Amino acid sequence: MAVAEQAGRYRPSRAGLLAAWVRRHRFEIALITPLVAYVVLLTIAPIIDTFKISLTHPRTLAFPSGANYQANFGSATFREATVNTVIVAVLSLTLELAVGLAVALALHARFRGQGFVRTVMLVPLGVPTIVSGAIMLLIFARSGYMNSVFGGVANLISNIPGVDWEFRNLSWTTDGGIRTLATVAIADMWKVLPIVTLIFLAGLQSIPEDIYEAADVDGATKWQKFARITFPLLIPYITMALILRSIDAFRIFELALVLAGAIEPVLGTYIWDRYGPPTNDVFTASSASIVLFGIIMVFIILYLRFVATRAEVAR
Amino acid sequence: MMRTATPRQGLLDRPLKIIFPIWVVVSVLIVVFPLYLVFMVSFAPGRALFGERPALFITDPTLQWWTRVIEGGDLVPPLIKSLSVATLSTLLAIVIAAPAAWVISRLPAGIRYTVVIGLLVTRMFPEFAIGISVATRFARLGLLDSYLGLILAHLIGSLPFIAWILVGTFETIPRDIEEAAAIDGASKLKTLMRVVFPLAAPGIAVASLFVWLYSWNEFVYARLLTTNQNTLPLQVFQAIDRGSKQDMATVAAVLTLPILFVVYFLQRYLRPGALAGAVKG
Amino acid sequence: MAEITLDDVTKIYPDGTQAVTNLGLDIKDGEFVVFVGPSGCGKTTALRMVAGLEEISSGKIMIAGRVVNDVPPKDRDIAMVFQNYALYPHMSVYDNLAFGLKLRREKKEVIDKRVRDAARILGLTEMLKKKPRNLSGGQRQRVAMGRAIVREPQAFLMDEPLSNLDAKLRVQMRSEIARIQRDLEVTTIYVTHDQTEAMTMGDRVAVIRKGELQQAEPPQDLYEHPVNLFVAGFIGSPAMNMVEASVSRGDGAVFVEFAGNRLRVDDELLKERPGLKRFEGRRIVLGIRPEDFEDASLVPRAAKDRRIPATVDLREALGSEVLIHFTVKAPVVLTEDTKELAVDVGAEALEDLEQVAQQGENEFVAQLNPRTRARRGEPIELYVDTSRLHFFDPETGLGIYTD
Repeated sequence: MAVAEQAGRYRPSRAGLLAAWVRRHRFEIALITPLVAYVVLLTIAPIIDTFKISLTHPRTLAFPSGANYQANFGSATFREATVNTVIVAVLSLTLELAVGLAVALALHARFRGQGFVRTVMLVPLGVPTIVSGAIMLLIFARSGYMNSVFGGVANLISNIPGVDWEFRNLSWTTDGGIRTLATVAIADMWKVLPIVTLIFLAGLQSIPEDIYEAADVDGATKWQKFARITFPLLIPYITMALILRSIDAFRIFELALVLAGAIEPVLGTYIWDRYGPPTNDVFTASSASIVLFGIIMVFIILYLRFVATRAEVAR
Repeated sequence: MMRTATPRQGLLDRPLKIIFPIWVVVSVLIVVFPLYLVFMVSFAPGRALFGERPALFITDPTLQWWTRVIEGGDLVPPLIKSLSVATLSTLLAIVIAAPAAWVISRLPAGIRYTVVIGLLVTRMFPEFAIGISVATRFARLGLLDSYLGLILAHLIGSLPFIAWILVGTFETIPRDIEEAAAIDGASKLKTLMRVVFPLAAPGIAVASLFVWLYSWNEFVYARLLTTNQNTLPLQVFQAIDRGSKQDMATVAAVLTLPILFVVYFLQRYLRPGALAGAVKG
Repeated sequence: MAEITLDDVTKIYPDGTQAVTNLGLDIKDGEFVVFVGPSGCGKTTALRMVAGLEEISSGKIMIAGRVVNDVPPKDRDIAMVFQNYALYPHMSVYDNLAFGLKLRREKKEVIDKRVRDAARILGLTEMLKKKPRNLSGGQRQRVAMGRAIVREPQAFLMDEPLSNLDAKLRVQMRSEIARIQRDLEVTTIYVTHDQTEAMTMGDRVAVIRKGELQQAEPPQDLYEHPVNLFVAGFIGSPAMNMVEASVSRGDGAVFVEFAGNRLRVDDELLKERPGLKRFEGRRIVLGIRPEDFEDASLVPRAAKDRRIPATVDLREALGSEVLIHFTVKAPVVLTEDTKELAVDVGAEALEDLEQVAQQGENEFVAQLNPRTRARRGEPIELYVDTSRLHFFDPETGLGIYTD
């Protein structure tokens, strides 16, 4: 019959506690160390290193120096690349969200062969970006299939008496201008369509069926149901897709390299041009990648604010 | 007021009924047509330089481009390099990330959340910001054009990703199973090897496929760390540069073929959560 | 097989929560001890400290005379049955049972014999090749038991092993586990929040409240001599009725009075509890177990000072007995103990209790012979067995026994 009294205070020293903790968890510490070391040595250290290079004067090697940033911001190509990156990002995001939503709506409805169609829709997800660039080249180059479609249409039209339209082959990829940037955006859209569609599908599936039934009872039309129920409830998913895709959109490189080349540089290809031969200028390349890093950090912070909830990470 | 459960007919409802099948077909075409193109062109007869295009529907397919690419030596060495690098880096990624992911999954919730987010965020960094410094260092260490150098570079991308997926997998394994093993007399290592990892095997397999895919497709690090021993993606780029449509399409087809199988296998596991921030576009 | 000693054991979590406080208990070799208490009372933590799954903040635990504070679970030679069974999903039943023996590098023949023996005892022989996911809940529970048995350990530790079974299976497994334990004579600690399990299975029952051991005694002793209001309220179903009452002396006898009722305390009881004298003229908490009521019309020569009138609010016929609920116009006992008991039932129950306390009313339950003619809404005379009353100090909540 023991009614216990209040416990005596028990308080070992801090260092003692740490030593005991390390001893008890040495197995776990041993297991996690390689990963931590890897991330520190081959992700964090290189970024710091690049940052240092970007602040080093290219000739005098003085540190810190803003020379590389000055050189970049003073360069017309760099400014053009930055503007182009933004244009491509805006174009591709708009396309991706619109087409992604349309495709998701189509796949969300029940129809025969739905499973097969969904599997097919996922394929571009695994297709290498460089291949998707090659494919778009087949379509959009001067001798691409886009022109054969346009040519066919032009032929039809010019057969109509009284209409005189001579069709000239377009080269989307080498003419430059907005058309070239649009090609890059279309290529990017094709490549990431599955991801965006999947995000939207998840959103659509998260809407309980009975809300629609309630709307039916209230006499809503299909359009009203979309505009008043589906769309508002999808907004968190649209935000998520938007932010996630922004992070990738600014990193665009392979597609721009293949489809826009030197005619319409983006930040990725600009960095590559500075770093690679013949310039081999690691200093401006570093400074430009830090600028890119800064832009992406903005979106990462947005991501952390709006997307990365605990549930998200826990799946 | 009386209300019926029959949905009201809106202005758009009837056109929608007609449009819907077209809508689905167009969606599928958007995805399938470009893929059709790349395979079709690789079998197209006649040498098409960038000035011309093969017919949209070929009637007399030829294997000459495949034989040419294979015999010309432009395919096999890059294929071997890509395969080796992808496979070895995947194995290394599992060996390094799986034990670490188990430890992370057993951290207290708050710390675990921070670590997992941290892993995700490192994946979002631009490759150039990391790659430029890595490339200069690897050049000094003589790691350019080596398998090891590229494997190490690909681990930069694949480690956080595989760790992130596996943390989720390990979280689903109840802790009391590990405790049962401890009481049954298993050391921590034995518990991992004989209970935890076997249970996580499906998750590890899926994560490995994703990581393999990443390495197989990776371009930027490969470009930065290669001077003459191409990987397949670099080979595609070279073909683009050289300007024969069929050569380009053939190498691209080789690069794409395994992916069709991998994606087919993975489709069950492709959930939006698993993709958030994980798959680079 | 071994004795287990918990010596002044305390568990404080890093966040400062004190889960177990100065727990001291000697468990004899072969004894079956049940830890019982409301959820979150620290009973599972205590068990896990014995298992080695939880560190001991202070104090020490001994198994077979050896201090095991720093011994990892794998070297403590104990077996544990988990609440969710924790079977290895990727192994067959056979391998689940054999795993611990394999790790201990037993000979193949020994493993095979022990696994088959355990399977026979538990009726699992047919299932040895199956995977856990193909078993029913009851079968999984048996595998979990079997995993403990084959090890022939120093002690069995069981963490609410029956809580995931349906009621009927639970009763069956209850007696089966008790039988196996008696056959094998393995020292056992069994954790449950179900007081019926505690009462029916344990050689001794240790009631724990908020990390503190209240009382550890054989079930019947616990039932008859609860150390305090908490134990009194926790053990027994339906729970003991409690009401504030005053003690007075008159006509050479001691009386307790509440809500206009005056009950004469049986002389035998008075001899057993001389401490009651100290409370003459003061207030106490009076406890009456439901089964100590009876329909007065069924008790020949029921003295007037052993009866109370009541109006039946609710009648529940259970076949072998009839429960009636009635209102007593006296305040509910509201102490830390009774609040804790209400919390165990649910947060709503605590609100109810506080509300009822304000109204100055108290609901009593009486367990009557099924022949009673009590009807809902009708008055009834109830006989009270005043030789079985319980008294508690309202200040401390402690039972009133000796001087």
